[in-house]
Amino acid sequence: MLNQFFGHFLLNKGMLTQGQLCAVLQSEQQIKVKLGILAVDAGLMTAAQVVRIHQLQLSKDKRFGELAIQEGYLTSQQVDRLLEFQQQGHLTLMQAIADNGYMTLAEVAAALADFRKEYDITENSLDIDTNNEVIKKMLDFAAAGDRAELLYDYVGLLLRNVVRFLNDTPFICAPITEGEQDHKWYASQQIIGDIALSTGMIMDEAVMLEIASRFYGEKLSEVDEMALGSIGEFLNVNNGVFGSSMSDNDLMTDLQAPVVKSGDINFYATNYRVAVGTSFGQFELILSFKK
Amino acid sequence: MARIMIVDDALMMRTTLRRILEKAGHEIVGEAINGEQAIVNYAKCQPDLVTMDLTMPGLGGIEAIKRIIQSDSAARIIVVSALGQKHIIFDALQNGAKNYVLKPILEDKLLSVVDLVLEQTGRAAAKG
Repeated sequence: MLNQFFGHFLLNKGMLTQGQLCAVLQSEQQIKVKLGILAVDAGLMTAAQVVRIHQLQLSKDKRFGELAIQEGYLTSQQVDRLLEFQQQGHLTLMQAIADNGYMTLAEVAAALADFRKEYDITENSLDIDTNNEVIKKMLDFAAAGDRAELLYDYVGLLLRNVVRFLNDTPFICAPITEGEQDHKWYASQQIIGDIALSTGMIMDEAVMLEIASRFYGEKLSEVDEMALGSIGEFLNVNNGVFGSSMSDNDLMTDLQAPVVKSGDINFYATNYRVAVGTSFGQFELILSFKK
Repeated sequence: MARIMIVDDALMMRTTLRRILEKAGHEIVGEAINGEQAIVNYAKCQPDLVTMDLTMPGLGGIEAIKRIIQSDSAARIIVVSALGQKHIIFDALQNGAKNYVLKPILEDKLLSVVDLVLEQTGRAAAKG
């Protein structure tokens, strides 16, 4: 979960463009994190020391860990421990950024330190409460008054479900302007009961097909009943989980059947929009309370 | 193995359920996309078991469960739904559903619930 927020941080600070972040997320999943990144992240080596070891590797046929021990930067126990951590999520993002050449290792490490400080994050993985606290610093639903907490919870859940069901790292980004967006598809579902919340996702056809494909688990190439059903089900499952979490607060809700359509869409006057970026494109989440 | 009818408005879900159940050796004898169709097709197909979504356009799953049970008190209906709230699960079970599987579906979970319901309700004896 740290990845999505770190990605958003880099975007907001202008350290990466949205296109660069998408490219990084696309390559992220294939990456095995290098020991140098792990060592810097753990505070065991500086970026300059890692660069020196990389330079030594060019002339000596030895692994990073061996050279780091030889140069006195790491102990063998530290190398063993780092090898155990080699698949940690946020580090693959750092690796992907460095591998793509968008930032140097030192710059990524410094950005991560700034990010942790700005959002008061001390752990490498976030529990749900911390997750939502970070979201509150990124989004402003104050206009929703005492219902704002529901919106933060909803956004947090949706972002986690993009990770869980779509196997991607979402990030909050700037919305695409009207003229730049291709033909739009709109998936919507009404939550009714103690909370009356209209939920929807707007996206272009390519993004819609990608979400549908990933959720279904097979490639879908055209907008047919299968694709429409899949995107509707993604929203349905997300809202079902949301409803279950609301019942923990004694709020009883039900769902109407999801609807997926294209063309002009009318929204409630007061709605809350969150643009969500992924490695395959962007969709806009639209939430509004029915009176 | 059992003769099963699948009820869900999403083709993607019906396809997924069909694949899981057929792989386990069950026969899919009918499908329905809403509650009205479920009632009609139940009478036509007389399945051993039904998987029933709750959130569908038109007549929803709870009402369909009620009416199918009214027509056949031995009907075996398993709810397969994204709605996981206690009052909804309770409602479904009170109206005659035998068990409940939450979406997103886990293949093993679905199949174990199907087996459990068939075993508990003595399929062969009930339809004899």
